[in-house]
Amino acid sequence: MTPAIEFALVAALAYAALLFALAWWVDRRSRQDGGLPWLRTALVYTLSISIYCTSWTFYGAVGSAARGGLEFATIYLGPTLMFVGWWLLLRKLVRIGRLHHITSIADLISSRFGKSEALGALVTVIAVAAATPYIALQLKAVTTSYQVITGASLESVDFRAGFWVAVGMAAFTILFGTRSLDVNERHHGVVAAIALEALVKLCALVAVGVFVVFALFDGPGDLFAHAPPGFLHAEEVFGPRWITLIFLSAAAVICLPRQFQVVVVENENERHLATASWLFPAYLFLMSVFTLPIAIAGLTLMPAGADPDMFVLTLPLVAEKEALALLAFLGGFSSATSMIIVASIALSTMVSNHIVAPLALRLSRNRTRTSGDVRRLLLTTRRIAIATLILLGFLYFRVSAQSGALAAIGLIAFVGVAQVLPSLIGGLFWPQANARGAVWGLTAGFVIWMYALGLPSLEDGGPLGADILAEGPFGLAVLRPQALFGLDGLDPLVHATFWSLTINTVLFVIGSLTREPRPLEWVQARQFVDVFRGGAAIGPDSGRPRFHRTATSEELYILAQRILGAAPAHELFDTFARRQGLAQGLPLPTQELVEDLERRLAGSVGAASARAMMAQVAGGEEVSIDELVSIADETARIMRYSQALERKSTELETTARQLREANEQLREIDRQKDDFLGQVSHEIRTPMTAIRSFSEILRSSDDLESAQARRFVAIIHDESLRLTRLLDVILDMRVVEKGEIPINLEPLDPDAVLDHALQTCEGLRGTAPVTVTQGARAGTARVAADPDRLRQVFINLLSNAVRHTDKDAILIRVESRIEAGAYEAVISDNGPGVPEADRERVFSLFSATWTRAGEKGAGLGLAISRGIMRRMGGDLMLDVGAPREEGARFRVTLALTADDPPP
Amino acid sequence: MSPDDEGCVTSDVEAPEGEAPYVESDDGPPLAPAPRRWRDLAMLLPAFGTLLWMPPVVGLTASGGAIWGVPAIVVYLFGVWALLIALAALVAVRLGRGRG
Repeated sequence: MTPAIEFALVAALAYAALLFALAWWVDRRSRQDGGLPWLRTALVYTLSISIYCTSWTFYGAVGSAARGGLEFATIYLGPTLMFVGWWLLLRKLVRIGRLHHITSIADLISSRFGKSEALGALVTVIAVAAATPYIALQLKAVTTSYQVITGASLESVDFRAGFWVAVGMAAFTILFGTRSLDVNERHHGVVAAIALEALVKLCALVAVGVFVVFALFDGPGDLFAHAPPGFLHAEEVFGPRWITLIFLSAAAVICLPRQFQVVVVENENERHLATASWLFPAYLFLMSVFTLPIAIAGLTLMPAGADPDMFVLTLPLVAEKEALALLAFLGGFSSATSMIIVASIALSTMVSNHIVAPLALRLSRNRTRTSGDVRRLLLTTRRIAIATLILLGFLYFRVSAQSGALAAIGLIAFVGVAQVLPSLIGGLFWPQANARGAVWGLTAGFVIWMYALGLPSLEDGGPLGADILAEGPFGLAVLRPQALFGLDGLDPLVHATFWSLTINTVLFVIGSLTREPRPLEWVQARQFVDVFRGGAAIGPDSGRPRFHRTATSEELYILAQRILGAAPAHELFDTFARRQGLAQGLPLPTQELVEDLERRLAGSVGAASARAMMAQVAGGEEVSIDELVSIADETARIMRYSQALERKSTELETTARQLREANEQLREIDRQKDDFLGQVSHEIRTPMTAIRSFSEILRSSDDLESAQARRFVAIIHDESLRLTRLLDVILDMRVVEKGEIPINLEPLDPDAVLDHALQTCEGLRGTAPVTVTQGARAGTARVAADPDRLRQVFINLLSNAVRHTDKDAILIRVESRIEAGAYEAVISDNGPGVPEADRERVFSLFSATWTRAGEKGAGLGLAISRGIMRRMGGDLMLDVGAPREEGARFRVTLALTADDPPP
Repeated sequence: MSPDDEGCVTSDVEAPEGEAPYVESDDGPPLAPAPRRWRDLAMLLPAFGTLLWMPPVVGLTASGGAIWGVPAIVVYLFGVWALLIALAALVAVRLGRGRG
């Protein structure tokens, strides 16, 4: 053993120990009051995103630059575009992730498409398939770099370094990455370690770069002057592969499970994303600005045949700068370990929430449930999953290390996780997108990816043999993995990306269009797509549709205990109870509580499992028609809006018409009132004039004869009486109008009243020849009426008949009978009758137009009479059946009564 | 709380407990001037970057000379990169300032 070996080993061990110590210390401190505020800054958030730069980029970018010139930059340009465009996609992702307690990319897809368990499992499988070789790649990088720095031969692979790194990382991740089940509770120890590693790898790469540019060469100009001719490949690099790689890396920076974990799941504050939108591209800029110089230096200074992937390490070694080489080694070590840690946390969460939890739910349906049992199960699962995933990565590395196939695995993984992109974008922006489309698209994309890219990456076509690559399955050339459907001559990566994502997207769209979204899909779609329009608003007044589920508080509490553990569940329910204003005890099991609890539980076990567990205690969601209507799409909303408008305009029209009619009536009444006032003032004016003139004569003339004076006084007296009567009538009208007329009902014989009225009218006839014909009589009828008022009505009718008849010989016919349990008296005349238009008007107040020429009346009689009759329970009508030529015929009706008349 | 940025429906989004809501507003209270121009710039930035980094624009400087000894295409790629970072930083600061 040389001292260099021991030194590298000691440095690596010391560095690992430092990471453990830092994580342990931070974990302990963060549980104390206040914690560590610097851990919650945008800088730490950005540094944790930089796990994007794995050892594959740390070492491999230089190798890529040495082989393909500028192409290496694509891996950084895509994420840069994605982050400077954070406003479009990342912001929405982060908002949704925080509102819905999303635990992983599988959870996001599952939750968006109706909390589908199948989709969660599918995305998990894809992610694990893509990530396992990726982890192997990291182990290979650590192993190779360890061999390089210890000066061991690269002819054979020493798996020991890789194995111990795998063990160490598994231990670290299990220790610090599975402290709590809720992924929204950050693992502060892990975050701190990742941040430190991000700084170390940046410093290492920049240090090597500065050393190369300014120590090995005389500045950038000198360096590029030494570049081999055609080194940049500038003429041919900007082709389909350039575009594809930028696109893939942009997709990978959100779709890779570990990137999703650090960008979305661990985001605490959307402001941090705003900062990371430029700080992370700046980090990438610094990471890549020295890649070309290191590659040029390696190609120029290193012997031919040296591994360009290790230039970062070998250049300082050749220059005998051992400290710098050690720093570079630690930088690479950091890149590899931070990737392994976060990737295994993210993947273990997905495996436990989307594969183990649904299975456990089905298997343990009838088992006894104890506090924290789900929590223990899932945490154990996560620990086992972490160890298994890292072990799988190691085995993959062990099997394929010699083949050199690992080098391409980074990009292959990118294509794999990019299969999630159509469902992700569609899910965030297209409400109609549903689970069928997502399942079809993801499955097709996954299969094509494995077939067109995964299979050829295996040695000799893997289990299917090498023939399949050259001739296609069963000799079908059209299905050759690298020339699907005859699309030959493309770069294999471009080819696989094109076919997998195209077919994925097409099937996603077709699947979504061929089925109506289910209610839960609808609800989730609206909440995801409209997250900035209040679609995800939480609160009783949000107007959001709610599902009706019933559960007792005890059941919910037990469920919370199973998943969260006893103490956190108690704390949570205390909070709920306080929010409901309860001083103690369990909160009421309202819909809000059920939803809130499900959301909390989703932060631990994923949306699909949380829903399934909630369904066990609270039953499935039921959606009413109203709720469906309320979540209907834009079109329906617009239709409802226009219907409402239409209804309103119809209402307005009706109202306007009614108003017009009312206005006409008012005008008519107003006109009648004016007429009436005119007549009344005329009526009053005439006696007043007489009274005034006679009283003036009496006052001014002293020599009046007493007889003459007496006559004058008599006239004044008469006129005063006339005035009084007139005022009485007007007063009567107002009294009737207000319903204040006193009416004393008593049983009586109406015919007797009628006879009395006829006698009274004898004196009214005056000079006109009036003939009263007595028709048939009812005989002995009994009605309840006020005799004085009834007489008033009869007199009014009789005097009307006299006054309004224009003939010289006035004929009045009076008859009465009992008809249908009512007494009926009819008074008819031979006058001009009532014109059709005035038939109702004659009964209204102030109608004084219909009078006999020369006669003056206030026109109040009929209105008052009808008012009196109606107050006595009878009525006064104008017979409409009679022809007008026969004159007017008025009919008085009164209900019969059984009471005897008073003695 | 303020109406959200895409403001079709004026519905409030609940802020997470214990921290300031980071809610965008384009028709919010007059005290918080709407950072509309900056928001539009934020949306245009990725399109701008894509245009400059994708063929055919990116190939224009491929056969160019050198600036201070560095090939023009390298200066171009990293120059656009630096410009995007600077603009994104500006946007982030402006958008962060426009709200309470």
